[in-house]
Parts: sequence; C-alpha cells; structure tokens
Amino acid sequence: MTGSEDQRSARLIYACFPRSWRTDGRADEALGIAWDGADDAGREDLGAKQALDLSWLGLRARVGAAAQFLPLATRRLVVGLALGGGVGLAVCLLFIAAVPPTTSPGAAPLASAGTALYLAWILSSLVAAAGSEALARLCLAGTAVLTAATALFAESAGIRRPALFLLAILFALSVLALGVRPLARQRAQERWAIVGSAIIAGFGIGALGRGATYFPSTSLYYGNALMLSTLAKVTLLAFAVAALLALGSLTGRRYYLPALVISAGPWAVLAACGSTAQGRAVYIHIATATVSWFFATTMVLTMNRPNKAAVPA
Amino acid sequence: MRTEMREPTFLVLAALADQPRHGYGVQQEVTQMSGGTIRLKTSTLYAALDRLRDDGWLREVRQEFVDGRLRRYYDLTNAGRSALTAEVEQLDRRANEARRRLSHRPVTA
Repeated sequence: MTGSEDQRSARLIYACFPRSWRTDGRADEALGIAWDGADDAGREDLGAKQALDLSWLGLRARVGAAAQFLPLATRRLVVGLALGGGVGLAVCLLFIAAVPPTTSPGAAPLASAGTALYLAWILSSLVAAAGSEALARLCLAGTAVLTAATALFAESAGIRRPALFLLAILFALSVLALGVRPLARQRAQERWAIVGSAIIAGFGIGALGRGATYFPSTSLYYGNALMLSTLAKVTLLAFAVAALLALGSLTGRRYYLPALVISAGPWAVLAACGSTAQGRAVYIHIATATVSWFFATTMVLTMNRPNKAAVPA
Repeated sequence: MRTEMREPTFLVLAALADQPRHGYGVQQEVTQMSGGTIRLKTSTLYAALDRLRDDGWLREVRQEFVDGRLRRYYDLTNAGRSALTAEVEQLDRRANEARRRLSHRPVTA
C-alpha cells in the first residue's frame, strides 16, 4: 500500500467514528493501539483485517453515541416498553394467526410467515428476561432481519405474510429492544414482570378480543368472547391460573401487583365490555388494554434504579 | 443476582491488577498472561475499556503522546478491584471443586 493509500484508509477509518470520539481523543487512542500493534509486528500499514476491525468499532460507537443522547432511565423505559410491547403483540398475533387482512373466519392458524417471527419474538424476550444480554441481542437482531426479509420477499416467494404495517411495527420494536443492555441491569424480577405480564396481556388481547371475531364458529368461540364454550372457559381459566402463579414466582412480591395489572388489564376490560364485545367495542377493548399495559409497564420500569450489582459485559 | 463476567472483561481487569497500563500495554499483557493463545482485537479491547470506564471499574490516570500517538493509562478503581477479586474467588472455588472431583477417580491406563 502506498503512502497516499495509507492516508486515505486512515481517513476512512477515522470517519467511521462519531464526532464525540474524534474530539475527545478516543478515536486517536484506538487507532494508536492498532498502530502500536502494527509497529511491533514490523508492518508499515494496519492491514485490511485491522482496518475492518477499527471501522466496526467506530460504527458501533456511532450507534452507541446516538443512544447516549437519552438518559439511562429513558433508555431503560424505551427498551422495556419495546420488549414488552413486541412480545405482547407477537403473542397476540400468534394466537389469532394474523394472516393477510383477508383472513376468513376459521382460517387455519399459523399458516403465515408471521408465525416464525412471533415465535422468534417470544424466544428473544424470554432470553432477555433470563438476563442473557448478548444472546438476547443476537435473537432480536435475527428477528429484525427475519422481519425485514419477510416484508421484502415473502410475497414474491408466494408465502403468506402478516400485513406490512404489522411487520413495520414489529421491526421497529425489535430494533428498539436491541438496546437490551440497560434492561439487563435491572433485577430479574423486574424483567420477568415486564415480559411475563406482556405475554399474558398479549394472550388476553388476542384470544378474548380479536380471537372472538376471527373464529366465530369454531368449537372455542361462538362469535362473542363472553359466550365461550365450556371447553374454552375451562382452558382459559386454567391458563390464567397457571400463568398468574408462574408470574408470581418469577416477579416476587414487590412486582406482583403491577405485573397483575398488566396481565389482567385486557381480561378485566373485556369483562367490562360485557356481551357487546364485538365491532367497535373490540377496538375499545384493545385500546384500553394497551393503555393499561403501557402505564403499568412504565410503573415497573420506573420503580427502581438499575441494579448496580450487575457485571459489565 | 450476580451475572457472569465475560472473558475480555476479566482479562482486561486482570491485566491492570498490578499496575496502570495503556491500551496497547493491556493488549500485550493479555497475550502474555494467556501464554500467547489469546490476542484481544482492538475493537474488543477498546469496547471493554470504554465500558469499564463508564461503569466506574477503571479510571484514566494519565495520558501521553508517543510518536504522535495518544496513549491513555488506566488503573482499577476500588469497585473494579472488588469485582475482580470476587470473580477470581469464584473461579478458584470452581477449580477446587473440579480438582476435588478429579482426585476421586485416579487416571487409568
């Protein structure tokens, strides 16, 4: 490599770093470490591998610098809401099998490319709740890529996919949730309160709200969520009891109340809607449940400062 | 709940346990500690340094220019030292347990 090529390469690497890193010397310091290594190895240039590595560091710093504009508490809130909202929506959609808008009552559930996305979301959120930051990021990044690929290629490949606006929401939430780091420092009980209750809420919204309109004549639904078959009532009751017991053991006493509010919101709102839970009432039910979920999740996320005992990655 | 410390974090803290070092010094020390088997990439090393500094486990003690290159020297803070000590003790306990179990069944030919 010639001298001018060296300079051009160095300028390109330097340009990858955010301005804050260039002005406070961090970019110079990182380049200096790389040049020290090159000198010791007897090389006159950094080499392609090292140049790529530094560019990667710079680009990651750019993403990090963009996030730093927000205070930690806000980032934690955004990430928590994105993670909870994403998994709640995924569970809801998985349950009602959100195939294209033309879905007819009784259409086979899970017959859409969306199923893989919803399951990926559930997996990612469970991993995040368990506290594995790196693995959760990997899963969420995979989910984001899968969502984008579904939006771009599913139709041309002849595969049924959820509506584009749903894919756009899921993609945006997975990108926001990728900043799981602030959440990883929260107590495990808080993470489970957010994720576990969102799953139960998503189920409630999907099963009791939209499910009733999508499956009006199956053995489970008779066109109205409150006019359920005995089998459906028993199944839902068993699920609710098991889910709330599991949630209690995962969240501990401190977070159980807000977790209960998040979980039970949709169910309670549906009961309030009564036997008119059809048409516009279904949308009111979904909107009210979403708002109650939002406020209760915000409450969980603002109850505590980050857990200082957590180890930096 | 205490979470697992990742290897680069552990190695960087261990490299700074005896004295302050600059970035490249840490990289060399890690390679030496591992008998040449581990060489931290610049991005991994720098990301770890930056994060540990943000978390208050490291602090910058001085800086200098050598051949026009900026070198910053880092040292462990009390919090960093405590964390490293806790990690070493945990690794020690695990190693002792493994050793104890191995000694229960002698090597057979």
